[in-house]
Amino acid sequence: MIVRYESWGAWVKLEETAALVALDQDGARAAGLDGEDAWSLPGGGPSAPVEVHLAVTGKCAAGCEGCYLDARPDGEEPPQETLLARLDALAAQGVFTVAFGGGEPITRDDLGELAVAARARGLTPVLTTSGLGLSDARVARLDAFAQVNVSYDGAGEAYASVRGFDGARAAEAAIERLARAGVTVGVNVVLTRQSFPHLEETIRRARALGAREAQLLRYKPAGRAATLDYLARRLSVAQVDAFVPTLRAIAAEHACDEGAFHVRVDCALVPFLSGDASLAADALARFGVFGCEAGDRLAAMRVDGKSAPCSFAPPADDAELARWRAYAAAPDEPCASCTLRPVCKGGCKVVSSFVDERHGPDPECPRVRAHRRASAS
Amino acid sequence: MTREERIARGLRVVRLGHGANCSSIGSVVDTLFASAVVGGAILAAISAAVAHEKRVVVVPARPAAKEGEAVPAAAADGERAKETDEGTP
Repeated sequence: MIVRYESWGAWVKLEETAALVALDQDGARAAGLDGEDAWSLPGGGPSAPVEVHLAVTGKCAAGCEGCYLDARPDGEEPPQETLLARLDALAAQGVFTVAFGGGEPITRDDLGELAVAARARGLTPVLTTSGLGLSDARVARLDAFAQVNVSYDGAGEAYASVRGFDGARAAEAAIERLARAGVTVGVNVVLTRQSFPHLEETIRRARALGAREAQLLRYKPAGRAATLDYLARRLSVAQVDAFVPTLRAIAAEHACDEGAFHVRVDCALVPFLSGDASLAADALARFGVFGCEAGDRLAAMRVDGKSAPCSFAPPADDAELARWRAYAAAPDEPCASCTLRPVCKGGCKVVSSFVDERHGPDPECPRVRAHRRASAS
Repeated sequence: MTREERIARGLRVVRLGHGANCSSIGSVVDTLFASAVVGGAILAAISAAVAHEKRVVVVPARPAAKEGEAVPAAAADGERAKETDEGTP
């Protein structure tokens, strides 16, 4: 296990089981751990992130319409020694998981070496790829990754509706190829107004191809998606309201409680859980559901080496990072009185900054919508 | 109370899986819909895993890197993780 002591106890990354746990001091002592100075000295400022997104290239030829990074075929690509120095820095900070992204990471010939280098530094590397151009030879170089997720928004029409071209067959071939090679493979499914109706079929298909996990992602107004077209692509009000029932149906269909398949949601989808009063904040917290952790438990390192609160946000200095954390700690109403606030932390700031032009309550959250309707009337 | 039970009582957060992908921080949510029995079994299994992993590596906790800092001073001071194979008592 990899242990990082905090003033309240310790983060523990298990190595034989894919899990990160937080133990309080008593629990840590029971596990034979002693935080010594970390537990006896006054706590300082914010701790390091537990997960960091590392952009290993800005190159990507896919040209997805909604690319949140505006990646291009001629994008910047840091040399290997630069990325190794960044991995050194992340390891020194006590980061646990490093998510390799881009651009399209598999365009790098040294991707496998970078994953091995991350492992050697005690980091857990994971990868997201479009799957375009993922040959058997390239798959063979990915065995150091703990998991590889393939962007797969559905078959044919659903995929094309999100990305502007039909790359579904290439993504499906990649999922199959990875699974066949014994790589733990998941799919990233971006939820838009157009892809959401196909979600259950998309997950059924991905699982049949060998995926062991589906990560659902909210469409966000960043990069090439930061246009008025966002308003036509984001989930409709009815779809947001149907989100939790859909999750329940997927979990039941795939017998997720038996552990063979899991469904994850991204931080920006957590506000949508507020539409179901039966989901208690303490259960979400206990099972490690993270809402907006940007600039706190999560950080992003761009191809130019600059840090950002998350992959969708611009680079930030200390003052800006503090502003992100401050909002999450003390959001406006109706977030302030929301029982999910300790987990959700006010929703996606990238969305609120784009739609409302300020760090404020997530305008697409069911609770925020209801609050605004009540205020208007 | 057994050691696993003491660990289970101290569990604040259990995040299954590896969490991140390249763009967002992800969280397993199907556990929220599972029965209390299944939820309890997951926590018990994780507590047992914590109790039985022998290799312990302690890493420092440091603030996030500042803008433009690829290698903060902390990474250059030669400090490395402490590792022990002694196992947990």
